[in-house]
Amino acid sequence: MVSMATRRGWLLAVILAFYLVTYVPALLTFVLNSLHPSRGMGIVGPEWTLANYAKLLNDPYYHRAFLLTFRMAATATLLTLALSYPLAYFIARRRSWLATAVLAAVVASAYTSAVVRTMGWKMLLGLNGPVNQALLATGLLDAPLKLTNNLTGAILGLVHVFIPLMTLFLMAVINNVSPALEEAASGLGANGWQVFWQVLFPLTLPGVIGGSLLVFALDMGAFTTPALLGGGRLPIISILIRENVLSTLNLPMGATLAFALLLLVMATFWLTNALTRGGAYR
Amino acid sequence: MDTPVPVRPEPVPHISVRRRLTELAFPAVVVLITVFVLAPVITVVLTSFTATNYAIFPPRGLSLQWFTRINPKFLASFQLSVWLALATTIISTTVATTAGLALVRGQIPGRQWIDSFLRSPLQVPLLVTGVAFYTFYATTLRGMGLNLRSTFVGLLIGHCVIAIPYVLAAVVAGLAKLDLTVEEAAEGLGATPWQTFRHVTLPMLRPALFAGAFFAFVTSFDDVPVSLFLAGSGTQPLPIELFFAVEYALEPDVFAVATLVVAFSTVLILLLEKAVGVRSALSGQTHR
Repeated sequence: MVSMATRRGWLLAVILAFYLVTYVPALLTFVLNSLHPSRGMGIVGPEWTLANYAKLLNDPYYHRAFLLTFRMAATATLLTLALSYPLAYFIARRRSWLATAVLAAVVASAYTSAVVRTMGWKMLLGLNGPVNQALLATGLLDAPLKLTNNLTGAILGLVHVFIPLMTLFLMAVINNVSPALEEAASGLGANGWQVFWQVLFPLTLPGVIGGSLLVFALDMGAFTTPALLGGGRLPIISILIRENVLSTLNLPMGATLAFALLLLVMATFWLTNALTRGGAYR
Repeated sequence: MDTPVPVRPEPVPHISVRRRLTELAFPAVVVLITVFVLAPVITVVLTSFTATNYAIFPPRGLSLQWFTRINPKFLASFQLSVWLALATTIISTTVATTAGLALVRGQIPGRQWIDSFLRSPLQVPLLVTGVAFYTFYATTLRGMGLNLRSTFVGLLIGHCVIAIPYVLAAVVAGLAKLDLTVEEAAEGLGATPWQTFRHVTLPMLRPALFAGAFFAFVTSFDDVPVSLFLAGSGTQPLPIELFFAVEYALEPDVFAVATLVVAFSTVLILLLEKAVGVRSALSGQTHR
C-alpha cells in the first residue's frame, strides 16, 4: 500500500504551486515594500530603509492608534464572551424548541454579510433611531446618545459579528463537561450562581480563554464593521492601513502598519495555541 | 391524617416561587440576547418595504417599490459576485480536496508542516491579505507587464487564497472520520485508485465537500477587505458596492438589495441543511 500512498504526493503539487506563485510572493512583496521610502503621490523610492518602522515606534499618533485598537478589541471581546456564554449554555444543555430556535438564529447570523448587518445597526442606532427614541421615552436621557460613527458603534458591531463564532466555540467546550457534575453540585445544595461560578466556569475556563483570544485576534484585524460603524475616521490600525494604501497613497507606510498588525494577530494566535494545547476542551 | 403537621410549612412555597422566577430569568436573558443577534437583519428587511422616498425604521407604509427601483449597478455587481463566488468555490474545492487526500491518505514527509502552511492564510487578517495582493499586483506583476488589478482573475486569485483553508479544514476533518478499510477493500477487489476515489471515497466524503464548498462560496460572496484593494471600476463585487453605499448614502434601494442578499444566503443555508445538516457541517467549522 505504501507505493499507492506515496503516489498521492503529486496531488499536493497543484496547491503548493498555486501558493508559491500567488500567496507567498504577495506576502513577500508587501513586507519588502515596508522597507522602502514613500516619495508621495504613490511613488515608492528604490532605496532600503527602516524609517517606516522608526516612525511607527516613535510617533505618538501610531501609539494611540495601537492603544485604541487594543482597547476596542479587548472591550468587544469581553462583551462578546458575556453575551455568548448564556447562548452556548442554553443550546448545549436544553433540549427544547427554543434551544433549536436560538441555534438557528446564531447560525443565520454567522452567515449574514457584515455590510448588511451594519446597515441594520445604522437604522437602529441613529440619533432619531428607535433605540434612542426608546431611551428618551424612559426619561433617562435628555439628549439622544451618539451610538454610531464612533468607538461605541464599532465595538457594538464587532460584538455582534463575533457572537456566533464565540457561541459555537463555547458550545463545544460546554458539551465536553458532563452535566452530571452540575447535577451533583445542585443536588448538594448549590444554587444556580454557585453551580456556574464554582463548577461550570472553572471547568470551561481553558475554552473561555482560547475562544476569547481567538475573537480578540479577529477583533484587532477586523475592518469592515469598525470602518462602517466607527465612521471611517476612527484611528484604528485597519482603518489607517486603508487610508495609507488607497487614499494618501503611502504604500510603504500602509505595508508597515499591515505587517505590524499581522505580527500582533499571529502573536495572539500563537499565545492561544500555547495556552490551550492539551487543555480541557481539546 | 394522623401525621403531625410540619412545624414550618410556609418557606416551601416561598422558595418554589423564587426558584420558578430564577428558572424563567435565564431563558428570558437568552431570548433578549437572541433578539440582539437578529435585530439588524430584521431591521434591514423591514426597512426595504418602506413606502417613503427615504430609508426609515420603523418603515412607513408597505410597498415593494424599492425592489423595482434598484440601481442597475447593484444588479451588475450581484452578477459579478455570483460568478466570482462560483469560480472560487469550484477551484478551491477541487484544489483543497486533492490536497486533503494527499495529506490524510498519503505518506508525505513533513505533512504537519505542509498542512499548517496551507492553512496559514487563516491567520492573516483579511485586510492584510488584501494589501499583500494589492502590492503584488501593483509592483511585481505590473513590472512584469501583467495587470491583474481591477480584473476578474485578480479577484479570483485573492478569493481562492482566503477560501482554500476553509475547504481544506472541512475535507481533512471529513477524511479523518472515514473508514479506511472500505477503501482498502475496494482496492483489494481490483479497483483502480481513480475508481476507488470516484465510487467509494467521494460519496462518503460528500457531506464534508458540501460544507467546504458552502464556506468557500460564502467567504467569496461576502468578502470586503480583500476585494476592496483588488476591485476597480467595472469589477466591483456586490459587498464593495454596498460598502460604498453605506459609507456615502444609504438610499432605500440599498435595503432592497440587502434583503435580496439575506434571502439568497438563507436559501444557501437551507440547501446545506437539506444536504448534510448544519450541525454536522459546523462541526468542521473554522474561524472567521
